[in-house]
Amino acid sequence: MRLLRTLILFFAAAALAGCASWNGSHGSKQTGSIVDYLYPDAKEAPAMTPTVTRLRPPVRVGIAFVPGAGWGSGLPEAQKIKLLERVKESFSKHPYIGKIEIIPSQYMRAKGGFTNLEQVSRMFDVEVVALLSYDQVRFADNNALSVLYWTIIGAYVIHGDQYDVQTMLDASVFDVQSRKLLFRAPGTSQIKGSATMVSLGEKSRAAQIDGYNAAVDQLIPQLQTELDNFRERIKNDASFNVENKAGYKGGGDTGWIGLVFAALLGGVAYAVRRRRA
Amino acid sequence: MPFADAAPELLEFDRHALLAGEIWRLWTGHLVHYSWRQTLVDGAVALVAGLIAVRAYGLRRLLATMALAAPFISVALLLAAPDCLYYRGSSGLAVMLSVMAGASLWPRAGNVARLALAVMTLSLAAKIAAEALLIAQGWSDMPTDVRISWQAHLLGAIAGGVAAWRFRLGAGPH
Repeated sequence: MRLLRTLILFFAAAALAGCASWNGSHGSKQTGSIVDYLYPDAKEAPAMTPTVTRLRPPVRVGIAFVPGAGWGSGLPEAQKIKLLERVKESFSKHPYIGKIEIIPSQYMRAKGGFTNLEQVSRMFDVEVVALLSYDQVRFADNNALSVLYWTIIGAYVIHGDQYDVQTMLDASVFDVQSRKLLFRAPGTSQIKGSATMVSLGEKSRAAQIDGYNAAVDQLIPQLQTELDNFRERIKNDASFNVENKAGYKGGGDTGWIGLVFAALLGGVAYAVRRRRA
Repeated sequence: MPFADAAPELLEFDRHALLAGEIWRLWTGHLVHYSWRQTLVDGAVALVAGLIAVRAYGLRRLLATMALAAPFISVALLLAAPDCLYYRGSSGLAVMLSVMAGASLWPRAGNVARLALAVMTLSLAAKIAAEALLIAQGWSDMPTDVRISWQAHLLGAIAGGVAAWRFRLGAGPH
């Protein structure tokens, strides 16, 4: 009878802790490959005919995430837009960049190739598109503390799970008409942390978003440097031709000097009134 | 706010849209701006100059002058600045009001005040010249793809001068 009771207790404890003890290493992967998007089902290297790429500053630029490999892969759309807004903001001050359009994922077709890219560029009236490809891997493992999950309360208070999120973003800037890659820049990040069994899902999802944000933080200065290098490179590269667009946007701005004028004018008016009084 | 975003584009001076018949842009191009800073600075200058000018010329004359000066500046931009495809800003009108305000103060001003007005006139001329020579682009923090339209300022000064001459005031109280 004692043996039976011991066995029942053992199996009950094992069953209660089972969800923890059977939950070993696991992870997930989010990927959006530029090669899969632009050259779907390519069996051989794309043939490139030598052409002169014409750039007419201020260049109209579109930025978009490359479509993911399957349903639910990648960030939620709202997060993508937020990240693209940050990239847009950092490039909106350049005089040679005109408008920057954020292209929502709904307009990007998986394995759409240059045909889809041309459709999108026409739709958004852009000449150059910066495509953000991504590759994020999330590992999750139990650590030694996870043994305390069997107490049930441990699953809520003990950080017995650890995660490791590795992210790589790559911005590739293409001239749509010539289909030429103008320049590219990468950004990477690694986010590590631990969580209780109950909060692992929530924390690791937050870490994934942080991973993208940290990768964008690294990407922006690299993209800036590559852009500067590209500007220098095209001065001596015969395959690029920079032409100025006819016409310009004019703005009437009195500026801070105008405010000084206004203050002086007000002062003179006051002096004249005092003189007449 | 989709309308708030689209409204400036419907109201700005747009050469092609104007030539296609959207004539309201002759007036409304002076009411929209590229940034809040531009709106506030141009608005403040126009307000101060307008308050001085309205005491001398009266509200009706001032409003009539502005209603005529706005399309005058726009039409002159169409003719004299063929490369200017878009224009936004009330600085042309602000300069016009400043010239009118200065002209209204001149007959009643003492020597020091006249000296200040003369310095301001010369400074305005120098500023417009610097804008025409593209030296003044760095003084403005408008979007980088926007060029300062010195022609609008010159035309505003001309309009202000003509209006001041038309309503020329004596040295008596106004």
